[in-house]
Amino acid sequence: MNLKFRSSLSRDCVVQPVDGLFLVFFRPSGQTHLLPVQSFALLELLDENSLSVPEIPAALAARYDVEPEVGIEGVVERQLRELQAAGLVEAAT
Amino acid sequence: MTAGEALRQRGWRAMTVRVGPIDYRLATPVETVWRELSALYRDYPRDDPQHCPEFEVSVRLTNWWRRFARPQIELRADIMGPFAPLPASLGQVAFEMGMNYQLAMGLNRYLLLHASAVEREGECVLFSAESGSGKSTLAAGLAYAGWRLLGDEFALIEPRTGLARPFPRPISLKNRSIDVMMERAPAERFSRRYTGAPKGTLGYLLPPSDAISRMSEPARPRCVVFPKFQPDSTPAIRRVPVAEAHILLVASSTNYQTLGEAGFRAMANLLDTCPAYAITYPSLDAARRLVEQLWQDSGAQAPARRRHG
Repeated sequence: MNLKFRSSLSRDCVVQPVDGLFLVFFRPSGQTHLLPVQSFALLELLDENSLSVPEIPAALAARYDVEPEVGIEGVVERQLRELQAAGLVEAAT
Repeated sequence: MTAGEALRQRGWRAMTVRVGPIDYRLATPVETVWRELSALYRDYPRDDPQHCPEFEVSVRLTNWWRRFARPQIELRADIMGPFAPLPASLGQVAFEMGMNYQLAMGLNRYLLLHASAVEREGECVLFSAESGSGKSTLAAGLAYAGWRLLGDEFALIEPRTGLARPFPRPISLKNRSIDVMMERAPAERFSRRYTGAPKGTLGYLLPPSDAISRMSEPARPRCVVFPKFQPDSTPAIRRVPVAEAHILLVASSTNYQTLGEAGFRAMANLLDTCPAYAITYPSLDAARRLVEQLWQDSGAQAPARRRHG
């Protein structure tokens, strides 16, 4: 079974959009993160539902009404790894 | 008996002095250091029994024998830092270092930015830069050219209101900046020069008297400037994107992490209302012209003020 991920964006974060980027203050760590739009989109998505890497491209496509790009799974996985290292997403249990 | 009276009974000299919203107790048994301290803080409210000091800083000789051979002083304070003994001739420098350290490490009701600030018409410009970038000299030059000095080292931003609280300590000038300001400010406002200090030769310049008499009047930040003195450069202005300004100011803040969410919101509000610029300048006069230009530009394009709930 594929591991699912989740974020706590709405509960644990304060967000300030700036210049097409997102400043995100994460309450549990007290850290401020500067995120590009694609990472922030992942946080929003995983705040609503716990999803696995293979599920994310289709969910993103549905949410933003775009066609999923070929090979996007690899990009998603790399970004998830970065967000997980920062504590902003975690494995759903 | 008050703490000050107890110190005096032991042969120490002590004062409480108010700088902006902060009261310090400063004490030393060294008469020469006391005379310089008294002279430098002669214009500030002192020994007001209504104000209890928040921080204490004292300077004394290290030991009895060292009074005869290369005398050294040591710094004691409520919040002790890595204070190495200094030559006895640098007693005033030790006081100033100790006062800065207490504020940087112990004051958390304001968002503290390592920045100088000047005010006009109730609004202010914040100059954020690393040590040696010229922010003190720039603030001093503007303060002696009609602006009101809010501070040369720290900007104190109230998280609830976003206002900048004045903290107009004596301006710390280094090396060539002392000569630059000697041409612009009355000689009686300067301390002597302290050679052999950790950052070279230091001198202190008393702010103009209105900066001290009006130090309870806050100002609303109007723009943030990241100044860089660069000899032989062409004066230049660059608009700094909000995200970059936020990251730069976080790096300049001594208590952003400590304040947590309140610090984030205060910083976001500040940059929501203030455009940020980087300036490069070859001289103090060039910098003044750039600041005047930014003052006009930022007034014309002040963004709508929002709060982050």
